[in-house]
Amino acid sequence: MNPVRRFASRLAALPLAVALAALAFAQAPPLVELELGLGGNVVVGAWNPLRVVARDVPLGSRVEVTFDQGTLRSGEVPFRLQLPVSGGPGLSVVERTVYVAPFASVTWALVGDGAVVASGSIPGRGQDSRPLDVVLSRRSGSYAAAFGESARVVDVSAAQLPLAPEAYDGVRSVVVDGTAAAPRLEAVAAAAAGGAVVVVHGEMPASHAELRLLAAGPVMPLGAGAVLAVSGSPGDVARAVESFAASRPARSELIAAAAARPLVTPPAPLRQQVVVAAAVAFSVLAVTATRLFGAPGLASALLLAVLVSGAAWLYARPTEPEVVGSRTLALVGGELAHATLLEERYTLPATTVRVAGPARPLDARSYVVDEGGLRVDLPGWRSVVLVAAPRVVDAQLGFEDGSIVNRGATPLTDVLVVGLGPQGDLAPGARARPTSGEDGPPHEAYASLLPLLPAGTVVALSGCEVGCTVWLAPSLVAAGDWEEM
Amino acid sequence: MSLLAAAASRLGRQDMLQGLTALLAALCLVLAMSWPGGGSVVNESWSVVAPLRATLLAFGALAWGASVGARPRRDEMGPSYLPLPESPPHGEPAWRREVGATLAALLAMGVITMPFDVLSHAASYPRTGLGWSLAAPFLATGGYFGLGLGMGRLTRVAGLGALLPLAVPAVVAGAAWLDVSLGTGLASPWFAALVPSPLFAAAMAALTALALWTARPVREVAA
Repeated sequence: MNPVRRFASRLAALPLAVALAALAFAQAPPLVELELGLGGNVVVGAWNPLRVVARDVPLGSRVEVTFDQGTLRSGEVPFRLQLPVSGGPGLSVVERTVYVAPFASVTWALVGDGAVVASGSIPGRGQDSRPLDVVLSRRSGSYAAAFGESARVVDVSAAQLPLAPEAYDGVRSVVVDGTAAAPRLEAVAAAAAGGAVVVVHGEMPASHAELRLLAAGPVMPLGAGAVLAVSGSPGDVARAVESFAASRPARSELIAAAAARPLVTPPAPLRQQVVVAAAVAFSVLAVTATRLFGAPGLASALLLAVLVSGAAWLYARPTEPEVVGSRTLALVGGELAHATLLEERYTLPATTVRVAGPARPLDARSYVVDEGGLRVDLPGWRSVVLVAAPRVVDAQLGFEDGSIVNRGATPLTDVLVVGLGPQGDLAPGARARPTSGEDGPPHEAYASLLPLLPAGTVVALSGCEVGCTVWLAPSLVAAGDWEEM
Repeated sequence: MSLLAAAASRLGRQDMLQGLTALLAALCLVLAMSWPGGGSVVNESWSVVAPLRATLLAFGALAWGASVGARPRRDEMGPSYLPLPESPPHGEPAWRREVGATLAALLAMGVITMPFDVLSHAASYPRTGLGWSLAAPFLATGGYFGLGLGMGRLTRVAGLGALLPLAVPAVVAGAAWLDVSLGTGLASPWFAALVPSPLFAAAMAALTALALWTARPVREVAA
């Protein structure tokens, strides 16, 4: 080809190249993406994973998400989440687990260099409190049909499964059938420990071999959930999930029942009659001394006032400005437990309560969560119950060879088997076979929980000197275990 | 006569003694009404007792300051005027001593009513510190006494002395209105007692300085 013509043809192709480049640029992903919930499926009334992916945003940016938890009656009740985004060239990713209460709206903005870089919102109309049934399968449709219309079956990839147990608070089940990419073992363990029922359906291919570590038996309790090995049809999977979920107490109901009784006792004031009598007596004495004795009388009245002030300060002042009480609810499954800390803060002066780590107030109220933790403003003489995000701990309570076992280093006290009665205390490392005991008033730390627990559940306490941990092992003792006693 | 004796003498007179009795009775009543009884544990008595005490002390200081400030001069009353020892004419050394004794008596009333503030503060555990809770009533007493002296003199000069009984409560109410409308804690002892206010402290300190300057001792001129 003639070089001139070649150059001319290349020149003619230049606008086309520019147009293609512009098109590619126009189709570039948005600057900031925010995903709330597993695969974008939010479960209200539960902890949900939040993921923010930002590209080429200014250094030191912040993402601010505002959940308006108000109603028409209460007005705006905002929960503000403020998190730093590292920013700079390339991708910046922020991951967090947040509690999502029923909301009117969710708005978010990424602020950098004093300006809003990106923003968006999630309307409150589509919110759903039903837990998710997560399916890792190429045949998700058959599971969706098996679970029925009332279930929320979502199809996600293995890479989307979070590794934090609290992120599975709103997940009922995770079904793995080996037809899709294998999930990470940590994610599966986190799901089970976090309260989900992990179903390993059918024979697993070699790529899923490590799942056998968790699915060694038909039912392997793990934390608040379990790993089930199920064969048969997707309908059998759905039935197994529903059956297991029905046998477990609802965690939200347990938390509400545990917080139903106050966790703190506010300081008792001096008796009103004593205070009024002392005030009247002092007043009469001061007036009489001033009237009758002139300058010495006035000096005495002044001195008496100073002394009475000192005495009032000593006797009427509570020792601490804040009273804190706590209780931990630990659902035992296997060697792990799903622990939820409830902490009540009762403040005398108006203050801002600060808690490090993920937590939420039990009731709907305004609060802020940032990198330092939770902040909630309280007026004087008021309390707030804070619920920490659930975490997985070693179970102190166990059941081995027909005996209840204390695996911890501290005593288990007030051990009780629902349906059998009190069992006494268990020293560290001790074990005891369940026996029928005389019914007595249950310990106040777990009395409100007992109506919610199925027969055979073992309940025990530890660490009540500081704040009781209530160990709950649902249906740990089978009916046969005590009939043979 | 020492300042303590002068204050005791002034406080022993019927007007101030009745004022002190009424102040203590009011505080006893409010304490009884605001202190938690029965099964209640929420104690917010300080939020009523402290502002009431500061306001009543300021009200009394304004009233007695205006009364002393509105005293006529000897030359206004004619040559036949014979003043009583309890009401010396304005500007004379005896009047200055009267100003000092009245201010000292008012401050003594502040000390005598202090246990009510301390007791309710201790039990209520408010965010405001005890130091400010105790200082604010004294600042209000001194400041409003100085304001009263000036107000009394002005009404006397303007020939509006008859309006003083109305002007005193009007000034206290006006101070509250001013603070509410401006959103500041500048003038009203009620709001200043609840939240520390440097503006209030500065204003009251200036007015107290005026009162102290007025009460300064001067050499008596030989008749």
